[in-house]
Amino acid sequence: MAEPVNWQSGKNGGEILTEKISSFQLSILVANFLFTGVIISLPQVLAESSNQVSWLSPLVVLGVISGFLWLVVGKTKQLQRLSKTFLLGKPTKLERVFLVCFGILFITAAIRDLRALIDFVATVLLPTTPIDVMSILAGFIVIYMAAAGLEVIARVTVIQFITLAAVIIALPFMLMNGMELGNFQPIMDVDLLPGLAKSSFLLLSWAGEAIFILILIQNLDDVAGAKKATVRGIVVAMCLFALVVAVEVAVLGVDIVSVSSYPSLQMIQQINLTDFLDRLDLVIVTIWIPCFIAKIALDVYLVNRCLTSGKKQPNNIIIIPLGIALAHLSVLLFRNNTEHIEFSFYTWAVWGLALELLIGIIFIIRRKIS
Amino acid sequence: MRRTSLLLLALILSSTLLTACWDRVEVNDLAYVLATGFDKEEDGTYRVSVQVPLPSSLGGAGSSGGGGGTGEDGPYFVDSGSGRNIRESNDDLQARMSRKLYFAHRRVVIVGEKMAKEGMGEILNTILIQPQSRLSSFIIMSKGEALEVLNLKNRLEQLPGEAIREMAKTSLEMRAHEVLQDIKRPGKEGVIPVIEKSDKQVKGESGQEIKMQSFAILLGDKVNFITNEKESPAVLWLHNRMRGKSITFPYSEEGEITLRIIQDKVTKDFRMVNGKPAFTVKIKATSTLMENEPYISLDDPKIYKKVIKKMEEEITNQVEELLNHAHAEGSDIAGFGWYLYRNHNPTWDEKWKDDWSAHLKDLEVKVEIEGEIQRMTNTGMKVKE
Repeated sequence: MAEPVNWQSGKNGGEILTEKISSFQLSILVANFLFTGVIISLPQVLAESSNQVSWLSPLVVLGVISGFLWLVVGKTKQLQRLSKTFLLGKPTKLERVFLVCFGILFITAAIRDLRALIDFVATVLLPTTPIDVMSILAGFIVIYMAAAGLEVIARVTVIQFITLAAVIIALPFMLMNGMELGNFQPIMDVDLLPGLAKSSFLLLSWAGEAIFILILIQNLDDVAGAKKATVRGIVVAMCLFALVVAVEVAVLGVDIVSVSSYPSLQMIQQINLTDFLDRLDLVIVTIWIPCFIAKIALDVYLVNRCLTSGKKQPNNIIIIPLGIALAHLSVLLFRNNTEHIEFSFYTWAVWGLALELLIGIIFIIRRKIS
Repeated sequence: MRRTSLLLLALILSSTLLTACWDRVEVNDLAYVLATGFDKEEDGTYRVSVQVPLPSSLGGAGSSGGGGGTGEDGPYFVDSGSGRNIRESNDDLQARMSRKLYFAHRRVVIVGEKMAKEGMGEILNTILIQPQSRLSSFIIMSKGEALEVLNLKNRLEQLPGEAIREMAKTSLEMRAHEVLQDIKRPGKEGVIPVIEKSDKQVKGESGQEIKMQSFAILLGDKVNFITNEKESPAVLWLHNRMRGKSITFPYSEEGEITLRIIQDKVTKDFRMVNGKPAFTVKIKATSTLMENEPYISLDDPKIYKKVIKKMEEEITNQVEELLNHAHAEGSDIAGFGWYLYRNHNPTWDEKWKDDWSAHLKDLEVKVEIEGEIQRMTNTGMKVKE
């Protein structure tokens, strides 16, 4: 087992652990991480699989992932003990395997998310700008934010996410005149259960990304509150997502949601309070994009933590080439947005889930050893 | 030295962010399309027409604008292009325009009669696929060609597209996403308003203007039939859109009574009769007295009840006429099948899903009206003749 190292007074690499975030900030980081990625295109495949009950899948997944993370994080005293030794100093073999799996998971997530941002901006906002240019610009923004550190990411996320959450909660009121509750029927139908199971499975790996908190245990002010904070974040994210999907089904109907690449955008285009408050879609996109960039910045930060864990050199030394590489890969690895969507919907469901389960199991073993 | 190099590198990298955006477009390089018309030609090709405002002509008297011509015919112009599909027609049109067509502000989509009868699926799909298009655009059918309707002037609005939009709002507000939903829904058919040319009613003035009175009843994505004068109000009754509209009916030989509807509500009650579905459509209508031509005294309860009865008969006749016509043609305009799909889904799947149009012809529908006159400001005064 690695000896606890007093990194507070250490040179160079010691600054990682002087960054502290509160339980509230952790909840918001988790909520933002889970919510901002799923609302882009995922409602399409959920509606395709489970039709009018697709809004129930986030609530099903909420229970499963909360339970899984509760199990993985374990008892509070054990976690507090582990926080003094886990990934501190030279990593053990088990910790190395943990870091490799963690790194692969979040490298793939970062590439997927960067491409999602680029495709959205290219389709909706800037259709003639080459995606390579967009990937460079997106890469720079993300590097700048990730290099600033965890505290900066947390602060930006708190400010932006609370605004986004307020807008999402206001959506049913803004779209009340366009909602048709008949679109939810028939609701109690046993035939819908297999579809609901399928859509819940597709969503599991996205919600399971909350496992990122395991690498941030040493950065928490209140380690004892980590479990509750994580579950709070998952609850907020999945409830907001359920609300978004429900409003989409109510306003647009299952048939339109299941064929739209960006059903959430289609939905907010229907906001028509009066002739004056007619085109709020760009306003809402402007609120969402900083949240999504904060999520991708956290992705890159986590990968950087993996790669520099246990090393004594400055932790930001590789963040620039890492960010540039990820931005480039996001364009190179997917030929077009259809390939990216296929990866996001179907490949990620298995790939992400497998890695998350593996990471969880390794952490449990590491916890037991300590 | 290292610091200087880093600073230089930062400056060079920053300069990449200062380059002009690829997507930067000047406002006066765009042709804002307000309304689009879709027609089908004899040879099967599509004709897409657009109505574009001329900014320089939109100001009041004495204003002068830069750029663009002042159209002799008004502050807008209409042009059209043809092609094998809608996109190709747009490209044909674009080839003759100095500005890039911009569809994000299009609020009205007019489908020509021939095209509407052959199917509107492709038009709705185009609206769904194109990122610039909005699903909140109104869908309207024109009697005759859409291109001719786009060229009609309106006296109250500078732009006919704007006039059509306002008329659609006060009629049945059918937007693209609502029409798409109705087409896809099992057991329900869509309805869209119809605009047509109408001769001016002013003596000494010739010409035509826009009129929106009837509705097109769909079967799938094709227009099945157009409602007549008696059936048209029934469409508004069944869609809860009669508020603010009037109903006129004869009371006696002495004249008609006109009531303005201030509240209306439709409910459907379902029951099974001999193993077949049967519905009762209940309409509750609250109204205000607007004209009392026979000068009857509505204070008298017997007369009041008689007026209400006449009102209810009139509404019942309108609704029954529409339902009988629609059901005979196979269009479930009131959504009875949709009700069964939602509330009795297993039975719907088992018995009615595959041939609902056939069941519709024999469907028992009872119409019950509950009328009320809530306000009578003045009952009127009989002037000696």
